[in-house]
Amino acid sequence: MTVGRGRTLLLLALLVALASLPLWAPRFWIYIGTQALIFAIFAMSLDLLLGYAGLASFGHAAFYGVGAYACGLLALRHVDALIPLLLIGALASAAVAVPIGALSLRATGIYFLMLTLAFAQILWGLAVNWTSLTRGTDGLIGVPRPALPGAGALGFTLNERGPFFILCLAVAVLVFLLLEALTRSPFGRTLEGIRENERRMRALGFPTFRYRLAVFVVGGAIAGLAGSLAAMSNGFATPDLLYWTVSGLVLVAVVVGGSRSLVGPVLGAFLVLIAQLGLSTFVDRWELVLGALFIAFVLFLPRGLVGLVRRA
Amino acid sequence: MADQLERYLKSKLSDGVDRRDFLKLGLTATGMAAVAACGGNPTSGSSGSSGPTGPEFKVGAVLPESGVYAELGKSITNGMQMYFDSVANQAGNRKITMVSADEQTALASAVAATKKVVEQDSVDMVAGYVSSPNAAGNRDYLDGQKMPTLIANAGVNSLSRAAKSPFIYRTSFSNWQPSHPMGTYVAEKLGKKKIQLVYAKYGAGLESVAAFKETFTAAGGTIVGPDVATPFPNNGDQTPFVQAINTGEIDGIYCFMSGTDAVSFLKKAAELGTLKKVDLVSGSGFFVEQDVLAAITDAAPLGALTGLHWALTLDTKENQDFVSKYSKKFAGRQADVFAVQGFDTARVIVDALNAVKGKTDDKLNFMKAISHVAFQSPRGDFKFDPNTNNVVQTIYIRKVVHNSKLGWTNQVIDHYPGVADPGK
Repeated sequence: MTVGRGRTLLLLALLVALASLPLWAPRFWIYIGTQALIFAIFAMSLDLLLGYAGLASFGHAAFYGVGAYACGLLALRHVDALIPLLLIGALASAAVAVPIGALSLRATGIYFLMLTLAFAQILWGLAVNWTSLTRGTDGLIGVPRPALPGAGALGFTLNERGPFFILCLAVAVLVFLLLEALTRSPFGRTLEGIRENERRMRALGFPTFRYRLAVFVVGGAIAGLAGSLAAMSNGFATPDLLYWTVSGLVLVAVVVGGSRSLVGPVLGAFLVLIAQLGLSTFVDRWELVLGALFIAFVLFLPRGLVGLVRRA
Repeated sequence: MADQLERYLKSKLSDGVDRRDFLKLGLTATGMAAVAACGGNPTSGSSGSSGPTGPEFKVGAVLPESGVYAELGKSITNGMQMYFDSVANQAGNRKITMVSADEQTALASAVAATKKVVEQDSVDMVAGYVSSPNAAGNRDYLDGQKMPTLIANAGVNSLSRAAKSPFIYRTSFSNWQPSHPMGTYVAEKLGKKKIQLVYAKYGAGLESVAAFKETFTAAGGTIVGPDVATPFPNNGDQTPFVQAINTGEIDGIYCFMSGTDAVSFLKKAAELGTLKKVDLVSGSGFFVEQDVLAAITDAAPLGALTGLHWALTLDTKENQDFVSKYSKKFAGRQADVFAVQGFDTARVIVDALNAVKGKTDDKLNFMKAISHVAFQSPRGDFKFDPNTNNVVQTIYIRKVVHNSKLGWTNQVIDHYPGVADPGK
């Protein structure tokens, strides 16, 4: 019980520190913080699949990218409302996740991983070649941020960095609480059972395929939500967002942070993003350093950053 | 005939300008030495110190240091460094320093790199951008920040048209520029009227062949379909694309590809003997630039004609000087068109800083000084077009030859001076 209370206190302290960021940090840090929070939501959605359901998806960027494009397309057609723009990303990705999941989940392990990778690359190809909708390699640029109802009266807009950061933080906290509740629910417990021994769960009468498909779609939807925020934050949606390297990067974030913990992927996302930015200034081949870090974590700290805390 | 005469006169005239400009250069150098001796700042009078006394002028160089465009980024950085070094890294009584940030390949990285130099390093201006989506994707931010910016490579047409900004000027080219004169040249000068288009299917490829098509069809040429459009970048086999060239029905091809795409395509075409079956291989100069020729050597399409704003063999004093000094400074590395763009970008910065005497607080005034910069570049006459904020330059028609001294290279055989983007 004390461990649980310690964790809650730690999380609250982290939340307060983050929430105060716009008050004291330089503008550039707020931008980095925003990017990291969005990436953290994306990483948490992968942790749901990888950590809790044991589904090693290597095509998770597809849902992130589809969410970004859906939000971008709608915002460029003059839809100026926050909630619909956020939801369209989640809905579009969920819709795409249903057929991809239905097909990929027939396989397991490495075959599942390769199938998700293949589907994601197909969607990437679509984003590059369907120029009438996606504008090809140039991508959708100039995606506007929506107005926040009532914010005008209080004298701020989402175009300012501080308020947008707080919006991302709020969405991240909601996603965290949702996933925490989900993983602790009977649904989550069933998923863990399926991860450990699917045959036994089936023998117990659980429709395991439907459970796995459901969690795949929920994971896709949350990745799409992160994609929506990314499109608003950056003001663009480009094919790069769907590329397999993004799937790889988010996988690294989850593993380095520590899967099956939700907090781990958040820490991992911050670490990977800051490493990418910081390292690329000093070394040409920053991916090499990140790769070495990844290998070191897998070998010596298989439970990630969170494992460090838990061990202590 | 009349038009040939005109071109001859113009080329003679520009020879004259070269010489005059060389004298001017000498005078400027002496003048600068004198100014430096007086302390560099006309207002500070006889302070006697030799270094600049004004605040540091920071240039944020957002260029790829990793990824597929790393070599292009390196050439541009080298070119900039070479010019800054030649003026002792100072202008308008301010010390010039370059702060670099890695553009990488994806737009998200380029956006982060831009924000880093602008907000974290508080640079006074930004220069760089190799890839077009990265330049276009940062346009709104740079414009909103009123950040003086020079685009040193990215050719996307819109930056000279609908998306132009009073704070963003381009020293490289618009995709339209190298290809537009080629259409006229192929149809009128060469009399080749049936051409098939071959291109990498992305922004630069599409915009280049569209510009060619515009003048080519206007001069009575016919585009023979279907177009051969390869994926970009094409990491797979080029065979089906090479075989899609309709050798029986065409006079030739017009091609836009660059870098590794051009290398794999030309190698495969040489292997299959396809290009030998057509009278004319033409294209945008990037298709057979020095980087490509060095990689394919004897698979090079001998006699291919391409348009570009520079050539290694360009026989002007400025260019030969630049080419030899560049290779001396960077351990034998051969100069390329990207290095020239970097060199000119740095020169624009220096000339503009001198013109405003280092006072850059009034951003619009500084941009005005940038717009007035004009000089003799290694590529020929360099000036900006006030309508498009894009460089106005000569487009050279070059022929692929094997030269005993330089190996495979491009020989200049004709030129179209003063090519300016139409702006719409």
